[in-house]
Amino acid sequence: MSVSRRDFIKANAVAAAAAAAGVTLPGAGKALAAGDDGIRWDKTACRFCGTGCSVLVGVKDGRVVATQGDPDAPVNRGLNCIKGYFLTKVMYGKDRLTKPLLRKTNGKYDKNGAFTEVSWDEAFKTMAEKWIAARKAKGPKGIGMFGSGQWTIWEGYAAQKLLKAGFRSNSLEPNARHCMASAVGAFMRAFGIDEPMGCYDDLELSDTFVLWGSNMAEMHPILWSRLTNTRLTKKGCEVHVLSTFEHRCYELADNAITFHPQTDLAIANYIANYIITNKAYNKEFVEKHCNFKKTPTDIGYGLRASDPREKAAKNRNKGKLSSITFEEYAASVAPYTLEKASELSGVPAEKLERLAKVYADPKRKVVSYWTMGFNQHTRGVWVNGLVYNIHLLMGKISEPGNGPFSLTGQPSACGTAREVGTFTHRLPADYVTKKDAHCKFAEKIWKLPAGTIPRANGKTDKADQSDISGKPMGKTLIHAVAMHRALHDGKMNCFWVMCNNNMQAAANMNDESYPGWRREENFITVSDPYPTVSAMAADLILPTAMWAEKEGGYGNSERRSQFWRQQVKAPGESHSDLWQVMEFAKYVKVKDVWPEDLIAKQPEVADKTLYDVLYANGQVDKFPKVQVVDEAGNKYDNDESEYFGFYVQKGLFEEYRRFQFEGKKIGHEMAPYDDYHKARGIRWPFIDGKETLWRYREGYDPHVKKGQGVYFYGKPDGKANIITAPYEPAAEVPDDEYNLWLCTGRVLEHWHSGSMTRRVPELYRAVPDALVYMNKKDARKRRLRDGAKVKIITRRGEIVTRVSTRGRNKPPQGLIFVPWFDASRLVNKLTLDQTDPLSKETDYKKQACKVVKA
Amino acid sequence: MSICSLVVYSKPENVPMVEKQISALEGVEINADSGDGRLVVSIDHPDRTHCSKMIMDMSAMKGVLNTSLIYEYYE
Repeated sequence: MSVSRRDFIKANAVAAAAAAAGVTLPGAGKALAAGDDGIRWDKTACRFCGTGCSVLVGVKDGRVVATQGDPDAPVNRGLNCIKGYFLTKVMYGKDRLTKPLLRKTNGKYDKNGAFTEVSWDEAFKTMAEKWIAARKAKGPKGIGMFGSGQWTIWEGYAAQKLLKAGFRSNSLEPNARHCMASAVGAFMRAFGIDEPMGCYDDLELSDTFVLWGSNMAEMHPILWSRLTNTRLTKKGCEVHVLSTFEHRCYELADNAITFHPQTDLAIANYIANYIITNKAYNKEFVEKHCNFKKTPTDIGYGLRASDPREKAAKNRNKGKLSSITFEEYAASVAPYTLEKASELSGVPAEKLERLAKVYADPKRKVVSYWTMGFNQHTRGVWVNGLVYNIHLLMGKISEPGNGPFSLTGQPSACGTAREVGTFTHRLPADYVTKKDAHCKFAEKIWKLPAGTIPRANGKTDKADQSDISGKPMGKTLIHAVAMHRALHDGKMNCFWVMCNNNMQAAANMNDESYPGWRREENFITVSDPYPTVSAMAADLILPTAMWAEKEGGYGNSERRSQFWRQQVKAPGESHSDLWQVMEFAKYVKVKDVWPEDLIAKQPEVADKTLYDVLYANGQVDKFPKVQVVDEAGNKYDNDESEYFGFYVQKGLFEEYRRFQFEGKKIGHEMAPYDDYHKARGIRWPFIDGKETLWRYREGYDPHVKKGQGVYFYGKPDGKANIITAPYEPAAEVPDDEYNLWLCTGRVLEHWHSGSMTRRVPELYRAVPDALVYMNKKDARKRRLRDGAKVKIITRRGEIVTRVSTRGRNKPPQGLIFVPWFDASRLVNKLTLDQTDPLSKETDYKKQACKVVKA
Repeated sequence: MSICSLVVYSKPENVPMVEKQISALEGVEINADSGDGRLVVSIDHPDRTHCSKMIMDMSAMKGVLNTSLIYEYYE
């Protein structure tokens, strides 16, 4: 490279950084990612966290050679985090899988055989045989699919159709069950529509930021950059950070609050009590826009029914709301005085009071953020709701700079898992399998006979739905944790895991996950680009094309949907999840899985395949295959369209959109497919060419009529629910023997289970192993030095690792933190499969353990 | 060779300490200081691995709140 060219690139690099920081540099021109040297530049959405950054990718000779934070992206404004820096490297790990692998002995499938290369045809034939048999023998729960918040929108939608309409099974769950289910539950209970009312613009518009159980500095670094920028440049701006241990965010905190696990329930109730006793609440807002409710208490911990804690629970799994008055609500939070909250939480009173005051000050704008600290909580739905209560009491919601904001962990937990509804109980656009009418609406869009989709209770028009098993359909819902239990118990025999690493991710691996997967009659398929812990525990591994190797679409935390074009080819014989789902559907005939009386309603389908009825239905296949080009005329591949012969992604998306426009539910409207390729994402509801920044507020949300001011249209009367819920203890509290809290989570350098980031040499070197972060005094008590080898033991198992007392995380005495990215130290051998009984989301943050010298 | 640029955030009172540490890094240059805690920094080095190490080191540096990568070019 010539010196002048090098200087030119460097000058551009510096200019881009200065522009992103808003710093003026004399003489700096704007010359960013420009099309020179034969590099083709295009926008993509980052495939890591839920922030939804746009990243420019430069491709030369079929490989990615450069990346840049997208300066035109409203989300990240040219910024990029460390994981984003290495984003493109995740495709080039040395051990990419390139062929299907089936366990075989002497040329035949054998559960205990060795992984052997097979053709896709053999892989799908073997799988189809198993799936059809299990579906017939064991009913709708005999098979199951575990997908992902990292699936593209159409991958989730294609899977939704395959399971619910094709196989007539509601055994479809996303790994988002482990991360966002509590948030969904609370949104539905309080507002009747999923996902946040506000948007990232609040990061500049607010003047107080409160982090409740979110290590934004490491998990959402770009949002943290924007927040940091506001804190450094806006006078009077304050940052409050709540956590059970000290982490990177504390460095910016004006009020750092370390509380005892589970007592966030008490702290939130104290703030509500403070607001009421000081008469600070917004009386007019509350009267016009809120109803008061209570929820059953003592609801158990989502463990197996045989567990003594479940037997002791008075209202196990109950969540039906009942109405109360404002006075009754006030009385319910009255016990949470400053003294009581301080005593329970271990937080000095003045810190709690300072926090309460920022919420109670009508002049102060406040945004509350949270992620897994709130969601992975045996009272996750409750605690999400308690923060809504605070914002609703003050009317600090649905307006610029004010609002509660649940951050998503995955790039499309919102766009795919939640919006497409790839949960056992959901259908697209917030419709649910619990309602007969909703299922009929879906059947009509999908051009399938009424009664195809299994209802939650197995009944349509009040009569039992018939099933290929010969028995009535019965109850059909099964959530993620229950799926592993069903595999363990032999009630589910086929399981397909896609785009996630659930053997490593699910709690209680020793007692539940592993024995279930390896049970003789069970057949486990894992689709992945890499040989993960899950892949190695499977019977069939399918090699997957990832991220920019396919045309994709994601939806981030702020309701922004973003698309990208296929940038490069996938290696070997690997294919995208979309291809896999659709191609597998060709191996199953309708008559293999539907009973005769259902076929009789549409006899022409009997000999057709699931592919024919689900995807070649005259709708999904109605857009012809086209050469994909960008505005500059650059050409792109689309391998799925090439293979199937029509514009697959567009066909699926446009059929999905009908759910947003043709039913009774409003507020989910998205733009036409082609619009997204031109925009840096669009936030729904999208009406008359305009996106919505703040929902439920007149002037911002087109669904709110003139004169209504605020209208929570997800609820029939337009009012949000303030739902009271008390503090209740955790399921497993430290005692004399298991005398420490164990909290698990993530680190900046690694994404989730590390299956991609651990294959990037730089990231691996930066943080190779999961350490146990421990307080110095706790270490000293156990005679452990920094770096000492230790055993962490719980009632479920043990792992060996090393102690860090000087690391970036500084737990208080009595608590340790262990990240879960490390496949060589599987922390989920230790965790308890406890869930929120309402959301069925696992609590990975609170279990009792002991640490001894190894 | 690899060239990249970043914004490094720190509290204003920590800027001198951060600047001193960054200046000691090989191939790293401070190009601008906003005056309120934001530094524009570039890295120019033949080895991409070195660049990534520098980014990691700055992220973990005492006084640094956050780093954002803006641009990267490598060949």
